[in-house]
Amino acid sequence: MLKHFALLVSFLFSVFIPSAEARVYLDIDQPAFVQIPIVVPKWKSVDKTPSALSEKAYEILANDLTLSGFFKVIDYHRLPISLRDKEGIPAGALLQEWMPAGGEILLAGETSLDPNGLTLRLRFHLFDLVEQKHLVGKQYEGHLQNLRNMVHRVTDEVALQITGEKGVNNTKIAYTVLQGESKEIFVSDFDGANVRQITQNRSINLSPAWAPDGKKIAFTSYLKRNPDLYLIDLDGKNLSRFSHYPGLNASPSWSPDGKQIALMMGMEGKSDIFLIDGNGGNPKKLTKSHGNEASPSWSPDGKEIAFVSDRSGSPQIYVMAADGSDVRRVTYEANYNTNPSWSPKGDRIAFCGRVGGRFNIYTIGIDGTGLQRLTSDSGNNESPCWSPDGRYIAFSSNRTGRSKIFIMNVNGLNQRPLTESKGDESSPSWSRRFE
Amino acid sequence: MVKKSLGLFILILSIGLIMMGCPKKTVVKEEPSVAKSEEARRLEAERAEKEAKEAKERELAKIREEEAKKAQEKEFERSLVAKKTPGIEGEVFESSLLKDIHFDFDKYDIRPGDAEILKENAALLSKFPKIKIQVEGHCDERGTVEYNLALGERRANSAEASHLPRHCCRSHLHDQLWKREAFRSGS
Repeated sequence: MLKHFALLVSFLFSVFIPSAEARVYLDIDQPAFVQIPIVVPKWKSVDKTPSALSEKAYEILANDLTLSGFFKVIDYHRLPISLRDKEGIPAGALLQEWMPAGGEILLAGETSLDPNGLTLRLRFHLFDLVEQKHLVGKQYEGHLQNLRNMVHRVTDEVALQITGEKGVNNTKIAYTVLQGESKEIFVSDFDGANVRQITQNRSINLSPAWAPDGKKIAFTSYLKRNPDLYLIDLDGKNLSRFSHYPGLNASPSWSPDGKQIALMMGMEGKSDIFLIDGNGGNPKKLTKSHGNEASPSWSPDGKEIAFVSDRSGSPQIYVMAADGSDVRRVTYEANYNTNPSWSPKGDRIAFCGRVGGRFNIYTIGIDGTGLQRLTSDSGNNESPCWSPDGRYIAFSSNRTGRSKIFIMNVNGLNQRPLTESKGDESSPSWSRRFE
Repeated sequence: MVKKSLGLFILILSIGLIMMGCPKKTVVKEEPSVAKSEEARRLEAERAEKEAKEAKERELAKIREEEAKKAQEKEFERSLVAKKTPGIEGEVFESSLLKDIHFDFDKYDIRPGDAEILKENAALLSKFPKIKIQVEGHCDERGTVEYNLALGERRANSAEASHLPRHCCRSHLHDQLWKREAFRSGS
């Protein structure tokens, strides 16, 4: 399904004078940041390229920029008449005329489809309108069917220039969908496109977890009447039963090197956190209390595991070393904190906590300080998981009635549903970037 | 009646003994054996009759018991409703004769009143040693999925730990959590 397409990337050095010093455009680590207005003129269709293709590329592009939460997109449809029909990449000297558009940044581009109808070229340039200078120019070449991926590369690059870090537009999110009495696993692109059903076994399938290499998804299923751990390819093929000890084999979490899986196992009479190796064997018990243990989540450096334990009397977030030693409690507020997810940046853990009967998403420093609530007055919000760059959190929310996957910036801003589906979605898991 | 014949027997015996005291021997000597065997035969006949009667009663009781058992089995069978879960292997039935127990929110210890229910369920199930029993530990959707799985595991084990298999608390929504099977069949 995902093919590594032959991508030709070329930097376009032109007559524009590159800047020697980088202006700080957007410090997205601030608790609240003002979105940068970005002007996006109409894209040009080169030669015989169908204009519909350029329109499509533009649509994906503008949507990506909006979804990122970093930009306020000034779409060409909303430009003053004098600028509305200007297509393609402006010459440096003409940057001035874009000032009335109200943007600080300008992103211009063109699409070019080969006469063979198969090879697509996307070319873009990014300008700083305030300082009247060129920032970057690139060209991507690939198969027409990879249009979306290629546009996502463009917007990832724009995010890199403006925020200092590449975007996550080329990522996917796996989640479960309730269908009658079954739960099936689905995958969607970051922008809600390409929604695909991965499992079709009409059983109860839970807790999808992407392998670090993005090739397989681990999940728990009741196919054989016991909650066993399975692996499946993204195209829904090669289903294999990975761990089937009696009792629970649930809530998998991959080590960053992909060589081990931490999971919940019940073979000793209650749920504990175990490690199993790449073949699903050598189960090693990590937790040693009398409590019920759940939801392991590995740290990005592979040295620690966050998990839920009710050993204190109520479910709380704990952290232990990857060998089960050095257990310490992280959450102390309220009496129901579950679903920890360790940020890829390593410094914070997201979780959901119940206060007054309602679940909300929180993040907390790994030392237990700096508790921050990210959702409020919006139904029940659960199962947080981070984007690979640690700047977004996906979670499930029933604020619109039925449970749906939502995405927000890590500061809680720009909360929006992932897909346009009717709902009953839960348990999101975010993939790595697909390049 | 036994006593009477015993008394009679003793009397006859004593008469025989007294008669034995006289110098006349042979005739007197034979009398008690004859009386004895007659009496013995009579006793035996009585006993046999009694035994036959008792045996018949036992057989009747046995038949009645078997019928009762069959009736109970039929009632149990009739109470079985197939639980349809297309995506899960195997056939499962539920019986309205087996009662659910409930757990307090976020708890997994058996409540005092529920112990009685479990005993009743066990009593019923013990009559059917050949069937396989599956214990389910459920949780409702007020909690979060994975922690609920842990609770469900513990609840099912909690019920099992009392050595009595049974169904556990009811699930409010479709999030049914199956537990491993508890084998009770001899085969």
